[in-house]
Amino acid sequence: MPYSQNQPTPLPTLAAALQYQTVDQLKMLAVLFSTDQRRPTRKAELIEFIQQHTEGDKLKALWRQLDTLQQAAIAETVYSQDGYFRPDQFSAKYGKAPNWGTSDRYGYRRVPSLLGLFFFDGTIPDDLRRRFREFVPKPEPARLTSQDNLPGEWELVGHGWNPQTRRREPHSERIPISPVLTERAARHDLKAVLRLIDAGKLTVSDKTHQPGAAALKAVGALLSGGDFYDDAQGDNEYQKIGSIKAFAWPLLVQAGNLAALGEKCLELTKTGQKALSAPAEKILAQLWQRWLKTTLLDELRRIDCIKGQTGKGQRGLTAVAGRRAVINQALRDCPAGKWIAVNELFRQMRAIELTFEVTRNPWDLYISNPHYGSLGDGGFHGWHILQARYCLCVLFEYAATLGLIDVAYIPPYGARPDYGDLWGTDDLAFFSRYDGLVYFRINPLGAYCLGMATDYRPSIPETQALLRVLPNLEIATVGEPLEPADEMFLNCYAHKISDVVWKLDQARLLEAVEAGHSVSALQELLQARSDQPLPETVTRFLSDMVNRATRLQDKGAARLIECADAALATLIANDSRTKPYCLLAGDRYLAVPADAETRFRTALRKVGYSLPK
Amino acid sequence: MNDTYIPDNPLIVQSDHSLLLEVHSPRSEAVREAIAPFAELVKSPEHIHTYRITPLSIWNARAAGLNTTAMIAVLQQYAKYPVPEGVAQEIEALGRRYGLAVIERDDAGLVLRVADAPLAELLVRDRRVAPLLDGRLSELCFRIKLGVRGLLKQALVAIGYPADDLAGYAEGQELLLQLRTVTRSGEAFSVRPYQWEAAAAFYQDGAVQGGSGVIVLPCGAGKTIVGMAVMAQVQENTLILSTSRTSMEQWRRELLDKTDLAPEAIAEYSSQRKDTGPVTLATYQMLTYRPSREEDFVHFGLFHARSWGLIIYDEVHLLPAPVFRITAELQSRRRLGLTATLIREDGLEVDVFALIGPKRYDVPWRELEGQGFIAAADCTEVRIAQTPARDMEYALAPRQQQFRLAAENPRKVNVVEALLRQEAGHRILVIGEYLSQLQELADTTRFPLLTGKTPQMERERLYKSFREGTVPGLVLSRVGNFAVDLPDADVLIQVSGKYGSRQEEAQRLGRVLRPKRDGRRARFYTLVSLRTCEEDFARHRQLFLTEQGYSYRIEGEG
Repeated sequence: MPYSQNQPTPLPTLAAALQYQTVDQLKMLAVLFSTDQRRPTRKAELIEFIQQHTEGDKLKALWRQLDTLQQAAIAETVYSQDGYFRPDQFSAKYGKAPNWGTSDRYGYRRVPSLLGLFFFDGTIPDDLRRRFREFVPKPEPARLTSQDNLPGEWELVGHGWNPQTRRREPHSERIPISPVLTERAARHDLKAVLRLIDAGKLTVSDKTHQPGAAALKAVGALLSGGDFYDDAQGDNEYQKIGSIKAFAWPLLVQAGNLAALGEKCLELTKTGQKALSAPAEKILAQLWQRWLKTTLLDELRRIDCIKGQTGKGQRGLTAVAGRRAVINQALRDCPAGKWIAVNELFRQMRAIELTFEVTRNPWDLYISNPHYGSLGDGGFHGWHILQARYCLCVLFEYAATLGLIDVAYIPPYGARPDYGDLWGTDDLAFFSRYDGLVYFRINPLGAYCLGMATDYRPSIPETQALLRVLPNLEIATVGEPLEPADEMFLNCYAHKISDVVWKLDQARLLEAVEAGHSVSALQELLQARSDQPLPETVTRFLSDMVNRATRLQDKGAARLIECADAALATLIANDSRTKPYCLLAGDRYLAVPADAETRFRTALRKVGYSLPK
Repeated sequence: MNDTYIPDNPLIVQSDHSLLLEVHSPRSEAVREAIAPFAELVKSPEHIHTYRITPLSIWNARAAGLNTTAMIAVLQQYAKYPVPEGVAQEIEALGRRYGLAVIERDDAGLVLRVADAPLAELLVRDRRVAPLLDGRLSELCFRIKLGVRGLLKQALVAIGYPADDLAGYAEGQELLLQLRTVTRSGEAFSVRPYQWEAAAAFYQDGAVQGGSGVIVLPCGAGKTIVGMAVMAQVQENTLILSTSRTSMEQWRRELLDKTDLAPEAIAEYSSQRKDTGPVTLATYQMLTYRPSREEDFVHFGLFHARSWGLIIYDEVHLLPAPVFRITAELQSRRRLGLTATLIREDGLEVDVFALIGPKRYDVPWRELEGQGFIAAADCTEVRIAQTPARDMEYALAPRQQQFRLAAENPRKVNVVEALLRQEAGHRILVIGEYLSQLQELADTTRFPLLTGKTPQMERERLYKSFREGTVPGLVLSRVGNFAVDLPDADVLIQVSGKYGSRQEEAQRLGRVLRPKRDGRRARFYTLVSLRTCEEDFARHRQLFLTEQGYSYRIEGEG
């Protein structure tokens, strides 16, 4: 739903609409009728003349003279709820605008086409609409085109300098498309990130809640298949694309309430702890739903070149939940299991008017310079700049990271050369790091998370690394190589003694328990990944460790007080007034729990002693 | 060469040169046979066995005639994941070194031939090798000084160029010895196929390529029989060195029972008698005796007392360092090492390789167990809580005394009684560390007690009574750890041990691994006091047993 409602006032009749026209305009309309009759010159006569030639069957005859696109414009408007013609929607649906007539290069000296007889300020008068409905067929709804298979390459069209002709010339280049199936990776990455957090190794900014460089590196190292783009391969700072998945995960888990910022780093919440052993698809669905509503981040912030978002421009930005709801709905309208070009999705969204505004005031957003580069200038805040880039970010960075959509992409350089006219973009290697997304496909996980399917069956069977747990307390991986996250998890509890073997030992396990890791989580992993029951020596060892780890409890800090002699210490420790607040420690010492200190001091005074501070 | 993941292959080659073999794989047996010649079995717990490729294992394989290309091909053929580049390179580099130096004999004595000039130059400049050489005969040939054949081999191994010793052996005095088909005690006797194979692999029909080396067989697999089979092939005077008098007695008993040697042909060189004969038995302890640290080993003369054609080193992994030194001088004698493991706690495996010889044969215990040549064993750890008073006593005791307090947990006596009831009708050994505890157990169980103080004659009498079935069980101190041949013992209860000694655990378990006539499984109980340091030591022992592939259960509280 567009934010602004600047449509023209409804017109009840053709006569009323004609009344709003000037004599010159009416004269130009009058010449559109092919008749030998003399055209009147006075306004009232002109109106009557036009009305006479649109009466009865003459209207249908006029409609027949229209070309297909013009007839479509009539049909779309006649059957719209409010009788308005929507040029954007029409162009998106039919590929171009209908023929309205001609004008000079500045839009003046307009000579209307036949459509001018029916449209007044983008509206067909109500009486004409009723009459059109009698014979104009209802337009077909806009349809989304999808495909079963991906093309292998993408044609990049642009302009380049030809040194031979010494001219800037159009050229095209075919770039291979990288398809990535995200479903399995997302299931893995979720667990990996949760384990990273559980290990206390993920820090985020306490102000923005966003990951820093170290965190991006830590998360990136754990991702199954790595991030979508690998900046490590190039050393050109100018062409760095940046993290996508590694950036998204820390925010997703925070938005989903699986993790919260502790003293130094992210810590798992109780929900997060449960998520470690919960079915991944449920957690991913939950994360997507939570993300739709989160205010943790406005994805527009990820379009780095659009400035002003934290200054004046922030006030004009629309609520993110509304924008995401539209994208969510657009995805739900897509067929599952088919590849869809993102441009086709954008076309469809505009064609069915499933769209949103990013800002109420584009003048406060700018590129490079707030004055020259303002997006308020005409055409600078078009759908392709704001809405499209926002959609790309949500799709590529969040939906794909959560495994809802498989993606096919190319490098972002020159992938969307639609911003070249904007002031200040000359030095940009790309407008957004998401520009390279060209196709997507809703996979079974996406269908489940988007509510398009009631249950989930992975499209690729899970192949998990098989662990062999040996009676000598060794753990060996014998199947697929272990994922980095599982490796990190095992490292918490056991020593890695060779390429694929870990050894459980008492010191490491007790250290893990002390750090808050659960032995049962280890046992669950071992059982889940082993096709044999755990050897008795291992289960006994683990239960021994649990037992040892729970036999001592931290009851908090205490103050150690030295008494002059053993008799005094015994007296205070046994006096009914002080006894509840202290314990005898050795011969001459008393231990007073920190939280009982005040009560102890009070009681001590009653016994007849005091403890100088 | 495979460069991808092949799930059906059972071998994982790791960059630290260890090999993991999935034993449940249908191809595991083929892989085991293929890798055993050049990789040492380190541990064999259920599911996965670990082998290790070491310089010695490579040289052992090269000594057996295997080339490095074949070794690498085996790894690549059976590896589940790509073989780390470094492993193949290491095998290639190490394997290539074997045989670059060859010790041979010519008319004037021993010569060392090397494969190329750079190695020759390296050797003449090496401070360990150069003093042992007595001049250069040609660019690639050196005269070896007299009496340093062993030292030279040690030095060459130390610098990484193990010599192929083709200098042959001196002839010993003749010994006419035949193995019997019916023992003196009247039972049918035959050497098992693997024992013949081991003997043949050692002797190699008298060729210079054979005649020295080590046979690795698990406890209870009949290493003594292999020794006798080798003696029957060599037919020369033999010196047998073993770890204890009991072991000596066992050798004597076996030789008399299973060969046609007359009793007077077997001499004993011990503290009581210092006889030598065609077959002479002695202990390492006897040989390494000297009145003081400054004086010589007075009994080393035994090695030159006769013209020995064969020296047998029993339990070669326990061979003391002085015996290595004298062995270095005995390189012209055939030398047979017998052991259950090549791994030495002191790390002197290299000296075993250089001075006794390469591994000639081994066979894993599981294979023998499968063929019924050694008994299957079940290991059970029984955890026993102490009384609260004893718990407190343990808590307050100095750390050094805690282990003994835990080991002597009085409740263990009750558990032993319960186990004796449970195992009634079986032949039971109770082994422990502390005499007071053992005495109490002997009083309770009414089993005879054998300790280090028990006179040898009395020991032999009691062992004989046990073997004949007149006593159902024995209580043994540490003397029971080694070379007690009690074939019918099938239950062993270990009430206390020497901290976490794995060697002790293996030796004790070996007491009950002789195959039983009725095929029953051996049972090995270890009693451990709950929530004491004994648990930690028991875990070391537990690891060792599970790594040997025995099933291990834990019973009791906790």
